[in-house]
Parts: sequence; C-alpha cells; structure tokens
Amino acid sequence: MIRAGLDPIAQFKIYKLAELKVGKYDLSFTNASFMMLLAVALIGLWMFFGTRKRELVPGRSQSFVEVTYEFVAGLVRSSAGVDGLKFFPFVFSLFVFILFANMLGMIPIFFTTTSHIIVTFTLAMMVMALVVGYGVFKHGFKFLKVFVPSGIPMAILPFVTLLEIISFLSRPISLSVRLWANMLAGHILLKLFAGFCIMMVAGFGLFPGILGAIIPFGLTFALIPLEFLVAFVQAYVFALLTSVYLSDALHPGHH
Amino acid sequence: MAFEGYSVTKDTSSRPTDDAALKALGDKLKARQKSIETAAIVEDKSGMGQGLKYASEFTAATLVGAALGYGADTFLGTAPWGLLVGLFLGFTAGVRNVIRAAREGLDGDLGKDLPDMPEEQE
Repeated sequence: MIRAGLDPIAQFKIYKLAELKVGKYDLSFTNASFMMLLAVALIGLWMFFGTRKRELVPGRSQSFVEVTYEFVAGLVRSSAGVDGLKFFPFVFSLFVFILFANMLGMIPIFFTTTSHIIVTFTLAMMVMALVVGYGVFKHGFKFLKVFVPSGIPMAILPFVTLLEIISFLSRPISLSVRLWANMLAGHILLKLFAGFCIMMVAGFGLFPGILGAIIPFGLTFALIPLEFLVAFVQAYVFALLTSVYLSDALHPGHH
Repeated sequence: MAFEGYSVTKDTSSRPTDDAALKALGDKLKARQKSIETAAIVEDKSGMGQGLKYASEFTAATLVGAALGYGADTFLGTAPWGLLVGLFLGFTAGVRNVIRAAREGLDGDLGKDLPDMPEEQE
C-alpha cells in the first residue's frame, strides 16, 4: 500500500473509466481522455463567461481572456509576421489547451495528459501536417526552398540540404519531447522529494524523521512554484515554436 | 461608464487639438505595443528546461538520421553503411540544431528574417 503510494511512476498510469471497443481497436474512455475533456470544458466555460458581456471596458474575467488573446496574438505576430495571424486560431487553441492540461496536472491527484508522449507527439504532428500541407498548398514546389538555406557555397550545398532535411524531420520529435520530458521529469521530481519526507518519518520514527524530512520538504516546497512556471513556459514554448515553424510555411527560403 | 478627464460632448471648435491629442495618444500606444511585443519573448530560463531543449534537439536529429539510414539499408540492401552514414549525418544535423537553438534567444534574432511588416492597424 505505502510502496504503491511512493512509486513516482504510478501517477502516470492510465486506466479505463468506460470500456469501448470498435472492431479490434480499443477506444475506451480513460482517465487521460477525461482530463483532456475536462481541460476543453474548462476552456469553453472560461471563454464563454469571459466574452459573454463584451464590455468596452472589460471586467475581470473579460480582461483575463483579452490578455491571453493579446499575448498569443503578439507571439504569432512577432515570430510569424502579420500574415501569420491567419493561423492565430490554431496557435491559440494549442497554447490554451496545453496550458490548461499542464495546469490541471499541477492539482494533486489529477492526471497530467501532457506527460504522455503520444499526446504531445500528436499535437506536434498536427503542427507539422499544417506546416507541410499549407506550405505545399501555397507555394507548391517552391516550398522545398525550406531545405535550401541561402548563402551557402555550391560545393557543400547538397550536404547542408541533407542536414536541413534531417533537421526538419526531427522537429516534431524535439517539439513533442520537450513538452513531454519537462512535464514528466517535473512530476517525477516532485513525487520523489515528497516521497522522501514520508520515507524519513516511516524509517526514523516521528521526531527524527521530521527533522530529516526538513530538506526534502523544503525542496518540494521550492519545486512547486517552479513547476507552475514550467507548466506555463512549456505551453508558451510550444506555441512559439509552432508559429516559428508556420513562418517557414509562409515564407520558405527566408532563413 | 465614465472616462474621467474626457468629455463626450461634440465640440467642433476644438477639432485640431483633438486630432493632435489623438495622434499623440496613437504614437504612445504604438510605442507601448512595441515594448510589449519584445517583452513577449520570454525564454525558458529554468536549468532543466534548457537542458531538455538541447537534449531533445540533438537526440531527435540523431534518431531521425539513424532511422533514415536504417530505412535506406532495408530498402537498398546496403547493410551497415546506410545506418553508419545516417547516424553520422544525424549527429551533424543534431549539432546544427543545438547551435541554432542556442543562438535563438541570445541575439534576439527571432522574427528578424521575416519580410517587412506592413503598417498594421488593429
């Protein structure tokens, strides 16, 4: 019982809430699905109540929505240009979804959906599909200029182009791994240090145990705000990289 | 809603000064917007975040290179050479990725390679 409670990996376990099988595919409703639905529902509520009144001078909830809107719009504008704003709904949805998923994960007993690489990888593949799809749709073969950097001597151009192709293909992996690893490592770290406190008390008895638990408790205490920061920054980084990559689809050959 | 210090009555005699005031206000807004936009580039300052950034950039490229090489091996039957060359290329691409990632925040060149922005209006 206590061992299971101390296991730092146990928090990432996926279990089924409702069984559902379509053909040979297991489409069961899991705790991960539940947390994603919860995130989307909360975002929907937040947006609904924030934009319901549409006041010229925004109230508290409306200005919160507006600040988020302005923040993401500024981010897209500064990294993908003004014409990148046509992707604003996509980037905004990504940012808000990841932010809510990360923040919900910070609540005790809640499950962190972004700590599973399949979730972040799916998001990253959506970005890449949009980049390639829009790039080819808009520029046709000229989109391949993305792979040919300018200002490189002819002699090593094929080699550098090959490197650029590998680098381009590595983008969805690095994009998803960055978010996933940050969330996973942060949550394991928190659980480990919090677990040390319990181990100290269980191992040394109450009084010496509490004395020994001061350091791990302090570390847990210090890590929690850091994790909140990471939860925000990783959502921001994901949105930023998304718009940087979308900028490539909009203006290939500009880097 | 009451705006202190501003009268909403129509007063045509004070038009020119209103225009000047509006223009000054517009310039102020524009300057403020600019400062906000540059401030929007926050960087991932936590040590673990930095480490994971470089690690993921490097590992991803190496893995993709190796996978491409392995794929070439299975389709072309060039046994170990595809994997070797692919791994090597992936390694190089990974180093390039890391250099690019490190440069990203330093000189703030993010978005500098974009075409000139047209005069925008909200």
